[in-house]
Amino acid sequence: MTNVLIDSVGISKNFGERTALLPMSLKISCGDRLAVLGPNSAGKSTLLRLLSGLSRPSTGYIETANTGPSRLRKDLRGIVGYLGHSSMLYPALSPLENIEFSGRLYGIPHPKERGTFLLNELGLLEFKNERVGTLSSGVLRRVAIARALLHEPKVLLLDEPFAGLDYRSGEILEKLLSQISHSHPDRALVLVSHDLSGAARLTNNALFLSKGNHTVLGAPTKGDWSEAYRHAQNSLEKTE
Amino acid sequence: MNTFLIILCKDLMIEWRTRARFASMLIFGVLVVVIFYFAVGVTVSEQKTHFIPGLLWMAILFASMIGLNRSFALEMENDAISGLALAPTDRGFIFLGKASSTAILLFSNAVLISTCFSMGFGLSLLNIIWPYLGTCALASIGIATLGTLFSGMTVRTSHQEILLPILLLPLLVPVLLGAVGATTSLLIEQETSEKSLRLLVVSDAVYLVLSFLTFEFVLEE
Repeated sequence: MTNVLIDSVGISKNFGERTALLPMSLKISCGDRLAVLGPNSAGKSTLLRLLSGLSRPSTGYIETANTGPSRLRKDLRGIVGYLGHSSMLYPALSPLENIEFSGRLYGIPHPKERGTFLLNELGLLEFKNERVGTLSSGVLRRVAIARALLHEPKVLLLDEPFAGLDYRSGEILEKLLSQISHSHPDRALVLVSHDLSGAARLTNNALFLSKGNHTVLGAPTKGDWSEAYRHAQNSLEKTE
Repeated sequence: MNTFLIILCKDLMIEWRTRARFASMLIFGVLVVVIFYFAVGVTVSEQKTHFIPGLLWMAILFASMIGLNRSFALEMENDAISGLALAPTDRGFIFLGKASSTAILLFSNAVLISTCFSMGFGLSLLNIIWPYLGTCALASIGIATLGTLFSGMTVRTSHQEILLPILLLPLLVPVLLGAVGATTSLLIEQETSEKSLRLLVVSDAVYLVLSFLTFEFVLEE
């Protein structure tokens, strides 16, 4: 497990009678840039929540590098930066206070300075002292991204990070993620997206999910995965 | 330990800014006292003194249920609860932080409701102030401990307002018995009931340890 950051073996998730994700094994190693693609209700968000340690798999297990089973889940949470559909921010606090609070929970030495730096990187300095409850959804999304990047995670799990962002904000975020990927080869990025060409610019491999089933698409062809996506969807629908 | 203080400060800061929980608890508690005032009557006979502590703790408990229902509501806005669950810390300390902030609110609320109650019913709490505050503190810790655990368990369900009291009230019987017993002894005999205080301390300790150990699973999906 030298380069492997997260090793998930046979993980699946059921919600009562409903199966959200069929058993699958997935290794995330240093330098991986993986897009998770698929139609709605395919199990993409469920996979990300399992990989982040937020959700416990119904079957299978997840290992991280150099950790024993007893400390596993705490360590898993420590190496991932997760962005879900919601911002995970407190409306009564300001963006900077929210980030400072998270920074303290993660044991970051100077959370306020780090928070200010990240808000500046994402063009959010002017909003840093306003209450989160008064901010627009696009700004909220960018603050949530700053929160996910706060502790310089080894594995960045982003669930539709560009949703709700305007063109300029999307461009800034894409540049930032690309910069992180290229300047830190020891880190990994897992990105859920419906924007095939946008995902292809940031990642070099893709996993296609449909109704809990999965298939690996490999590297993008002609700038995106549209052809491979259609092919994978047809073949998975035939097997169901 | 650090996590405990971080969560405690965050919860108190949010409460200070919104005052949502405290205000609703206090208003409800005072309304219950007013209803009791008209139902029981102003003059406190010796016979009435025996059930006054029960009424007082009913008012405090009903008001506490409002606060406990809201205890995890602020974590559900924007799914902030996932942010807490992601923190690489022992989740037991997250529980301690949340339970402590709730205990502080419940204690302050209990003191204010008791003041209203004593004014309405002409009771003198001044000569028993310190043992009475100790009783309030112990009872608040017990209610907050179990209440925070069950509030966390029921917050993702669609019927939290109904489920929480149904699950919580039967388990709070030892805390209430201790609080009512200690208050009765203080009001009538003007002395501390060791038996009641012991019941409060033991139930607080048992609930605290059990809740600390089981909270890990409350935050899991």
